[in-house]
Amino acid sequence: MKALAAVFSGDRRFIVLGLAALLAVVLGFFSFTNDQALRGIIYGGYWFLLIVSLLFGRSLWVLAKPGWPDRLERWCTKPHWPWLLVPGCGLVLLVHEDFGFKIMMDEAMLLGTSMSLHYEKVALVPMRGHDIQGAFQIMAGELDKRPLFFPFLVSLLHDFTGYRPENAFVLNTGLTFVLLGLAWHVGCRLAGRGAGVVAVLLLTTLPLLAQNATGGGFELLNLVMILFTLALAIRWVEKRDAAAQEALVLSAVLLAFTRYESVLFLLPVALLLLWGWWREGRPVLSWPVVFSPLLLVPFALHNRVFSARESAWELASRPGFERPFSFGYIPDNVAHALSFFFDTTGEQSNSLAIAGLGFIALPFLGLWLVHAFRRLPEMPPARVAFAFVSLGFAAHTLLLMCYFWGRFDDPVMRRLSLPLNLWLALAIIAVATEFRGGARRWQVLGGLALAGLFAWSLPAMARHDYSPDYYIGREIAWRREFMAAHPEKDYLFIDNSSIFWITHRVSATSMMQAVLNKESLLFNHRNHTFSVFYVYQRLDVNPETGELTVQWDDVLGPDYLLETVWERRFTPLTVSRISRVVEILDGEAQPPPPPVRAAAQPPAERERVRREYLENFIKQLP
Amino acid sequence: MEASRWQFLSRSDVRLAAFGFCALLAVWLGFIGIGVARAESWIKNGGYYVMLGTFVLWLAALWRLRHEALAGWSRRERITGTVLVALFSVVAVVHEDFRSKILYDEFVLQSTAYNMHFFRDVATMVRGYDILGTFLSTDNYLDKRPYFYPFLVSLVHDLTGYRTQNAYLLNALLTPVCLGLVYGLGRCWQGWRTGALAVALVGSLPLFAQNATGSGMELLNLTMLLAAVALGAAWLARPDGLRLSAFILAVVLLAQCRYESALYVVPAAMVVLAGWWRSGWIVLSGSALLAPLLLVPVALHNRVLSHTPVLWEMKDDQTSRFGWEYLADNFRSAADFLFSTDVRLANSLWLTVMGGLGLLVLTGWVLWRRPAWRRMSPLSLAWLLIGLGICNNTLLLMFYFWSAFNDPMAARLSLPFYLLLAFALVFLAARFDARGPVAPALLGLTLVCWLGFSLPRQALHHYSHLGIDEIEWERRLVAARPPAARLIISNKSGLPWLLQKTPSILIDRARLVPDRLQRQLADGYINEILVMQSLRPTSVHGQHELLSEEILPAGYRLEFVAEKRFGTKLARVSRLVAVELPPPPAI
Repeated sequence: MKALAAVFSGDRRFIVLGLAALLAVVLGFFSFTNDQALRGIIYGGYWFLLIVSLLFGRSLWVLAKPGWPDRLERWCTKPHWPWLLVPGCGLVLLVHEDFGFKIMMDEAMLLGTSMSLHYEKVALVPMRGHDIQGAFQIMAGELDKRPLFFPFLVSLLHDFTGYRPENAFVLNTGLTFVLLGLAWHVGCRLAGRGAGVVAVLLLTTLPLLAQNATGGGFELLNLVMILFTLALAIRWVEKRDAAAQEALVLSAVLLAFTRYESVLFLLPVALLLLWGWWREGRPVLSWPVVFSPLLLVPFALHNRVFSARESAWELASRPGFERPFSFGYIPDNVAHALSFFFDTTGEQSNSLAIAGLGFIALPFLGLWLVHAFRRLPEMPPARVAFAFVSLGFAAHTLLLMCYFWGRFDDPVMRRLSLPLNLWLALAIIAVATEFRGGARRWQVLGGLALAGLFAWSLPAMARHDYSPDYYIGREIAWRREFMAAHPEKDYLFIDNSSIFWITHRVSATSMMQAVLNKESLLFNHRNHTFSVFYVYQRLDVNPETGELTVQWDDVLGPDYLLETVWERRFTPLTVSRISRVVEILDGEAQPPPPPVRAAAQPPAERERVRREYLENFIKQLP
Repeated sequence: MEASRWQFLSRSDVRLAAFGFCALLAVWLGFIGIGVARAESWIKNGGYYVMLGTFVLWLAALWRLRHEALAGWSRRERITGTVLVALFSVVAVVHEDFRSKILYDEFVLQSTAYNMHFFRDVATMVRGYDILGTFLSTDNYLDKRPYFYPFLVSLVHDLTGYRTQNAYLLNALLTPVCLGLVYGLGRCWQGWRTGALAVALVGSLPLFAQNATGSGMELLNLTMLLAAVALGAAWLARPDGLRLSAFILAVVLLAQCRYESALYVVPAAMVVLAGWWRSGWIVLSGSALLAPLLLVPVALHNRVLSHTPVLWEMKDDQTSRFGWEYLADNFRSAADFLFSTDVRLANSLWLTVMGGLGLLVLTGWVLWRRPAWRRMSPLSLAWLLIGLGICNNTLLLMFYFWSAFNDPMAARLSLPFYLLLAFALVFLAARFDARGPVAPALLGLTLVCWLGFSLPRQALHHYSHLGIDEIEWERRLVAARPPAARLIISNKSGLPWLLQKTPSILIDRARLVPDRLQRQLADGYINEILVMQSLRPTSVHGQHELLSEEILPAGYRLEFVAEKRFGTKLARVSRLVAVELPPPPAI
């Protein structure tokens, strides 16, 4: 304790750091009401991220600048085949699946936020938007719970190349190559070039990565920022200077703004910094780092969305769950996780190579970590950094196992396993490093990864059964087909996923709004405000009679006379339909008939009926 | 022997006398000797060739100066310049569609380019028909707009084939040229730092981006203005015949970029005089001798315009184009535009405030310190004189009946003034840069303002939806219909259709010629006649009705094709299926 006090007493900046941390706690948790906090994020989120990103860019520049000529020369003199490995593997991940929005609300919300950040520099998901005088204008919005870093980067792409929803895919495509490049770099730092190759090959065997690389979600950015943080942690352990520390801290801050749970990685970064100071015998501090606790205030303020809106946890989407986190969920979640990792049907987007080798490596990794923390000063910098960051991976995995919706075999939740997959891939390398075998072990591991890739992953990626399995993703693609076929975009869509249309600059409103505001829709219909009114509805199929019933939350009521325009059956028991509003009856609004909730049927029962019907449907095919 | 006979022509006094003669002849030709009708005919038939000659002479002069363009630039300056010019040029063109922004200005320019390309006439089409497979301009007139921009578009047509997109292509190409000149001029003061600041200030102006994606003449005007400053500075730095030719020809071309740009002839003359004064001797190149004669078309064109009130586009209650009565409103509108925080306008508040401060400080400094002309750097002197020209130009606009900057149609007139504001700030930043990183700090703040305030305006571009949406929709609608020999009866202008080689007349004319329309339909020369009309709301509840002036007589039988809302009005496209002629009067 005395020694620690001696370490910290030398630099007054440490006192400022302490005060900044205290101030951050006060500002983040005690100073603002929920409303004030959310307003702060809405209007200040963009500027905050701009400043942090610029600082991060500057810190990387400062780190890279001194050794640049030598590094360039080293790159030029080394064999060039690794230059082909990363682009080649990146292309393998990108070519099998169409680019599309894979997870309905998640990706639409992120895109919506990027739209508002681009057009108005406010962090809102557009809820209403219309073409008023030729220009599409966002008229109302709401702060989304999702962290802002991904939408911010997409908004920068919009800024520099013009607004288009596909920019989310462009960013993820770029990030795919960055991710593999970082994996190569980290692998090399851990155990040489052989390990770098294995790291890249292992990640290439992961169909889940391919799925997300061609989507519009923030998962890839999360992995990239984790690897950035790990790479910068290695640099910090190697040379404990202010420049490395600044880059590491800013990387961790940006990582915290990438996915909700990634804030956990701040813990190992903080421990690593303390360890570094201890090793140096003094706190190494630069001014950006001194004020870094204040950079986390927006995170705390943004998280108020969960206390301001109970619905933000989405507990209602899974009946029977009352708390978002509980240790009681662990057994069930572990079972689902194992079901995901060791699925052999191809319906999950897992990698048997990563799972097989990774779960063998995991116990060894645990032992190695215990051993490593005892003799950190003697270990190479890369392994020290990996040991610390592994704590973050472990905490992340534990948190997800305690999450009420942490089932990795659920189509919507598989993506949450990506950091664990990355950890497993790195664990394989870290454990293999401890074994003898020289270059041969990397050849064996590389061979196994290639075998897994060709025997298992590539066919799975080519079929990508796991994507259509989530039929809502196909519905999104269908909506985009509709837009492509109707390029004028002068129509109004009545759809519960109205945000998706708005992000594509199509006027849209929800079913509830259409029912409640019939008068205003009637006015617009009469005055040809929109060339056509379309309605998007889902219908349940009665497996016995084949009769179609509009789902309860898609019922418009008898005042709207509809004519079917497009119809497609995405699952055996649901039909999706796009209709045109032919007429809106004048007079007092007639409410829709009382809803018949299909959800009243237990999920297991619904699934049983669905499967039985599917089997019968396949038998009946001509 | 032969050489010595003509040697007297190189004597300064002889050349000065020749210049005086040319100037007097030019004044006589331009203002006295030629009647309006003949002037119109001369420009229509000969304007193209005078322009071609001037342009070729200018290019030849530039070619001989080409080695000096990037001389003395460091590697860092080249890389920074390339990156920034590329960045701002790309961002300028990605947010808006390439389409006309100023109704119907840009269509008229394109139509003039059409006639210059196909017939070498400086004329705008009124009617055109496909006659035996060739689309001919059957009726045209000399428009009021200067024709250097149409000339360049016609050159692009000449070299790549006719297409309406060439007008946008030219502006897209002019964007990096213009920004390159901005960088080059900024660089002269404090290297890449001031060059980058200048590019950021001009490139972050939404109005600049709007014009980069249009088919108007503003970007060319700005480019030629910058070229004139650069060449003026080159002349002042080293007064010789070649630099004088390049400068004077640039000014002659600048005078034909926009109506009011003819005013730059006066500061340009002062630059020439300053060059003579600073060097202590008179230099007059062949091009300089010819310059007054090359300006004759400008004078003739202006005379035709002054005698053709129908071209002035004035409102019913307006009696003159320039007057004191417009001054107060124009100043108010200019302030409203320049200091606006409304995203509906294409201004840059940052540039207004900082550039305005810069201009005020600079003006105060010039008045207080009264720097010696002889000791001023060539570039500063060129900017001072041409800057005065820009101020005069802007002041003149304040007296013009249609130059309210907050009118999206007239906002573009503020571009030269914005250029002056930008360079005033850059000049000051360069002066203070030695005392601290002023230019980089201003650059950083400019980039932040660009991201935070200018880019959203560019992305939304509310200011670019004036009527053009409707024309573009009509064009898309017609393009989606099966191929046919088609006539468009337009309620707006026939020009957009004529440019696509589709015959078009206005509704008023269609009312006058029912027999001809009936004949065309019956004979099958025209397979389809489409009628464009609009409906306006008549009450708070809508109840749209056709505009009375757009209703065709009862005998014109229309079939509904499509309808679409634009703002509060509805645009309707119908097909004319038959024309029933009234019975002949009883004898």
